[in-house]
Amino acid sequence: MVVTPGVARRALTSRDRQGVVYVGRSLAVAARYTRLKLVAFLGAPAPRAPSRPRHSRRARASLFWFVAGAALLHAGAVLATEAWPQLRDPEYGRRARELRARTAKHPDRPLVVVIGSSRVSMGVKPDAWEAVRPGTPHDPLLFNMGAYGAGPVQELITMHRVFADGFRPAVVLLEYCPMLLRQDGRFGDSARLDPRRLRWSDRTVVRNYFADPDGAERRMRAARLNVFAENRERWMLQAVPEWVSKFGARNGGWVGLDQWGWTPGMDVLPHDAATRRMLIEHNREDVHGRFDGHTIDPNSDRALREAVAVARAHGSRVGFLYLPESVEFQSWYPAPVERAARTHLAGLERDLGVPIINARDWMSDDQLADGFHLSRVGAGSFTERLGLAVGARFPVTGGRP
Amino acid sequence: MSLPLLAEASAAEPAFQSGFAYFRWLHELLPAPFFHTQAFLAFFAIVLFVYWSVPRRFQMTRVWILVIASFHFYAAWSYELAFLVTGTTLADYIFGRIMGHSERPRFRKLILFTSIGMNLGILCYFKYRGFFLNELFDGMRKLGMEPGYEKMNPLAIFIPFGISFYTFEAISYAVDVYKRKIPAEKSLPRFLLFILFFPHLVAGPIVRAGDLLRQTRRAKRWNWLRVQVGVQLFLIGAFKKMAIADRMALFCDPVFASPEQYNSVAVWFAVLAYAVRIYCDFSGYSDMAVGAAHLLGYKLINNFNMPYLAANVSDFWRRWHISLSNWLRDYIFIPLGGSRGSRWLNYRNLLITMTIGGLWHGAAWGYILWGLAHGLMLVAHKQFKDYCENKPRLTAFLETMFGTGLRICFTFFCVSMCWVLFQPELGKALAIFEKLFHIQRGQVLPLNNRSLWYTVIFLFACQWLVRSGAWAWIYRRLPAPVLGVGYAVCLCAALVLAPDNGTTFIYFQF
Repeated sequence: MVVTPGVARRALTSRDRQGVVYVGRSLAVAARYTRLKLVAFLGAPAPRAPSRPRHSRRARASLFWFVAGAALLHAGAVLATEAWPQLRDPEYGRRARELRARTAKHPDRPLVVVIGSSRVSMGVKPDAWEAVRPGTPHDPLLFNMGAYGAGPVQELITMHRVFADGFRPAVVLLEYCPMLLRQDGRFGDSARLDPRRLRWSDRTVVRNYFADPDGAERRMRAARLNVFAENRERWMLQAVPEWVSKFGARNGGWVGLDQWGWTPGMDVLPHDAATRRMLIEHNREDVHGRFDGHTIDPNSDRALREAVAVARAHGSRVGFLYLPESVEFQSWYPAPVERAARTHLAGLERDLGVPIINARDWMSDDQLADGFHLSRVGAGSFTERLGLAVGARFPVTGGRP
Repeated sequence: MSLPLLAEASAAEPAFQSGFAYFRWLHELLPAPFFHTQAFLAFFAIVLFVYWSVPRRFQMTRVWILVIASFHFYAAWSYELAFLVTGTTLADYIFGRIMGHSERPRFRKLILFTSIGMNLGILCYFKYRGFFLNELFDGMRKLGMEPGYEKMNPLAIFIPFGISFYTFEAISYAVDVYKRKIPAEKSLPRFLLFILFFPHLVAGPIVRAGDLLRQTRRAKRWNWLRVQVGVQLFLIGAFKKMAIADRMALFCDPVFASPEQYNSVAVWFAVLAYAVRIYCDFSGYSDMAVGAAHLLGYKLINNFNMPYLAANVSDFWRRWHISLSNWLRDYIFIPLGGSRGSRWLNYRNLLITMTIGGLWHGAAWGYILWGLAHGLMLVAHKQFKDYCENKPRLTAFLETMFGTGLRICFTFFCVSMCWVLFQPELGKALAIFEKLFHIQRGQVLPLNNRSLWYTVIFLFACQWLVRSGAWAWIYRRLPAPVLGVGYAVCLCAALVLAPDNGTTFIYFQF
């Protein structure tokens, strides 16, 4: 029989138990006496640490988990924004996602990417072109890569990103907008572009073109160090757009983006002259401010030339696109600005050998919402014509490289 | 959004123009005295590190560290006013010492009035000067007299932050020393810390000398439980401020700025949003203040106790801004006679106390009327209570769950209506009332109101959880990892849900 402590305990009589208790107590007294002797021999004892209560241990553990959890959540958010570009820059990231889907669906058609400002975003509606295209395998596959407020510098950034993301457009159309060729003060690209939306790889352009590259890089770093606070508006706009005030949604130009990169612009019908007038008047002062003291900044010229060089280096053909403007809006151009823009565009065409699609007078005034942004209806009819023009100006010799 | 709208971003002008490079540099490091900013968190982390690095036996060194940190916290915003506050605190200290030493009652009374006069004089100079001069200006003009000075813009008057709070603290100290409730504080750094302690400097809670000075004498020991409580309160406060109050501001600010543009439904929603906002803004700040103090080993009074679950207005004032309610009770209501004497004297005392409470918040008719309205509601409640004494069936009904719910809803409604008055421009408050009770067309809210409802439901659900005791039951059983990760989620949620154009604290201006 195996004698376990339980068996031994049961075998003891109550008298035995009393004996065990007595012996145990005697041993405890002896130990205490020995300890006292030792203490007397070795000196004063160190104060005994109070036994740590359970709730104190729990508090410490919960604080540890708080720090660890916050660090993990932060690291996860940083990794997520790097892995999914639409989290950092939804305007580009969402378009890139759609572009990938479109090129996968139409692998043999020549891709034509249109890069530019809100005028491109609202004005180029490839869906309309898809509905009327002749249906040949060489029909250009138009895609809208516009971005609100994008001038030449941001166009260059988009160009770099398109190629870095593995897209190989047969043709790149760059918007030419004289109004956005200023780079001084609040008129510059760097004043309009939120650095928190930039990638690390955009730093080359930031260094070469931004008015305050150090400040922009600080914001870029902040967007990574404090990832939740710096990106929240864009995240909220994607997750729960109705929770974000329209006054605060400065970065919400991509809301409503369709599968071709087109963002529905101002919904002004051709017969709605009153709304059109109100919008024109709303913009009048601002546009006049832009033309007042307007000069074509050398940086804008340099950025446009660099964008052409980048596209060509990747084997893409390049063209400039001058988007429609109403007669009234054209009349707002001061003569020197008009002259300088014409000369500059002609110079680009001559120096770079780049074709120009001048669509400035293509559309009647009732197709433009505010004189320089196409209305939703206008965008459709404009893009139908643009598709044909692109096909004519860039005859296709093959599919997507 | 069209192109021109994108170009509107402009750099903010620096608000601080100081003569000393050191204070300019300080201001750049800590531009705003708000607890939920990164700059404050960095400042606080440094203070915490230095404070706890000092061994426990050097308790006075720790007190000095907090005094210096508090001075810098204030001086980063305005060094002139930091010196002013420190100077008046020194004067209060001297007055206290004199009162403590003297046995002559008349002399002591003179010192007391000097101390109160100095504190109220500074408060009136900065806070009420513009209001009274403007009222005098208007009055003289109405009488056909030429005032001989220009009317002041009330919004442009510079008011030192937290002035009402530390003035009340200094007055309570002087009165308590005069009444020999507490001895005069002998240690200057401890007294400086009592007034300048940065967690309560900006917007309270209004601490009592007897409470905080006693704490300054105790050697502080690092306590994990206390740290956890501090962190938890700070996070809850940050969440209330950033994720709820600032979000509610998106609803109510545009409507309160120009109520005539909005339709009646939007104005009703805005009033609801404002009630939620002001509670979360102020209680969020108080929670952060109490949490920060806990991390430094100090315990401040809890300023809020779920005030919107109050069943009547008296109950509301036992739960809302408790430190101010207590102060008004102890230093105005009771000296006036309190509840002693006839019913009408009691009502008079209530009305005077609440009107002074309203005036304490701001120098404008809106605040005064707000205080008066609360006084009237307290009087009405007392009348109703007396009426119910002889109505056992009515009392029994009001005590049922349904009756209690009704009382809570009615109290919330009354308090929310009073919040409309709680703003510097009375004209706007009247315009809001007109929109509320006279159905009119206009713009809709700038945001989808779904998020407003979600927030209100979330807030009341949280308060119900706490009130019912369910939260205490759950909290005790939560494992440490769940609790810790919950804190982290709370922090991240506050950061994500806060709108980019966050607002300042409402009580900052008081």
